[in-house]
Amino acid sequence: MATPSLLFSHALAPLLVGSMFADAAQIHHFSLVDSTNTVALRAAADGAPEGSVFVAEEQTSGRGRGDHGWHSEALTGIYCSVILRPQMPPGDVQFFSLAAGLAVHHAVHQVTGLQADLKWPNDLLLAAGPTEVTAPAKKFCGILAEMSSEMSRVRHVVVGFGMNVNNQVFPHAIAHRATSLRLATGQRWRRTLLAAAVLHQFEREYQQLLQNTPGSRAELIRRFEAHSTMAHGRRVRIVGTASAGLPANELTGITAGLDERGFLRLRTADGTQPVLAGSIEFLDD
Amino acid sequence: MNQKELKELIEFLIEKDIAEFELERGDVKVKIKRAGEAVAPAEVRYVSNPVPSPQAPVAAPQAAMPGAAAGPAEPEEKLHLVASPIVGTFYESPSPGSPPFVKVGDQVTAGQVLCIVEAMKLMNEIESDVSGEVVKLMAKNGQPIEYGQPLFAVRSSK
Repeated sequence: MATPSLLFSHALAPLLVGSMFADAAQIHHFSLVDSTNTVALRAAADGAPEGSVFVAEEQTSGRGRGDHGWHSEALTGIYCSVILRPQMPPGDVQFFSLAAGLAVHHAVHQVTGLQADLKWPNDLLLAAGPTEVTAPAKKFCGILAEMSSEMSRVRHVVVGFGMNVNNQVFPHAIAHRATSLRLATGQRWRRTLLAAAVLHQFEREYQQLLQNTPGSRAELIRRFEAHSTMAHGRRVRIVGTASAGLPANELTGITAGLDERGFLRLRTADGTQPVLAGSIEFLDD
Repeated sequence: MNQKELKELIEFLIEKDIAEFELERGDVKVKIKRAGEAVAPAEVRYVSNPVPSPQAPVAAPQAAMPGAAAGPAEPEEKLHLVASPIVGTFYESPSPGSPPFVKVGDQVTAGQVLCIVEAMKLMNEIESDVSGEVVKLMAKNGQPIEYGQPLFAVRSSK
């Protein structure tokens, strides 16, 4: 029985050599925190440098959109947040949401060979298990980005990753929609390797976005759509959101790709409109 | 700040009979001085729909006419508008069902979070850049917000 590989900074730092996250002194490891995003935001406000990493073995209040939590079982998942200080207009930072999802997609593929499916803007889904390939895909990774900005300047951005790696069971309330890499493959995975792969891949995406050219964004959107089966032609309901032009609490339509700002285009009875934010439910499963 | 928002701002100042106003956030600087009765107040509507408004003339009278203000005896005051730096969805509270960050009449300090604007799971906590009293909420919970759209008016306490 292998001992769990803890996400200590001295275990992670050597795997991050050459990256912006390699400084062991700026990799902050916690046995238990409320939320790595909360800790990172506090540190960022106090001046922690770009590239600081906050990683925990367990969270008591892992956070998602709105009132969504993230079930953060001890020693089984990756709960990791990083601080960025990009010099770009605040309105361009939303591309990080897509970039973070793509980074996880590539990292998981690199380490496990799995092809995770991206659900806009950045949930990651997998078939429920090796023997259940026809069942609806379940979520194994969520990402939450939080920003502090002035009108034309970003102070800091925190991007948090919550990934189910070696979980074997989930609480009843989420069991129908949660999975882990272990459940999907039938084997355990080293969290240190996965965490390092995610950070390397995310930095690659980040550096491309820092160039901030229309070309780099179009390329990002094209790659996102290529790894997202729901980007086109799925019947979905968007809950708890506004779309530009309709402050409705709920919106139903057919997905029609991403627009040039990365917003999901939804074909509805009232025409095609961009969705700015919201939770997506599939109606054709 | 676009033409439409500037128009809304001016309408708001007229409605509240505010004679002088300054906004400075990053690259955006707006300074408006108006005479008391020059402009017929239009109905103030904050539409969420980003439909381009007709190119209404937005030039406010530049030269203040001292002593010309008719009507309310309120002293002129400076209101500070807190605007959104991103396109997204406006949330008045940290999570659905929880109390709003602030409400009209609350005293806030510079740096205090007033609301969240979300774009594709990027949560932007919008802070007040002045200390003072929240005098107007200019967006509704769940409403789509355009870049530069005013969200709150704060009466600076300094």
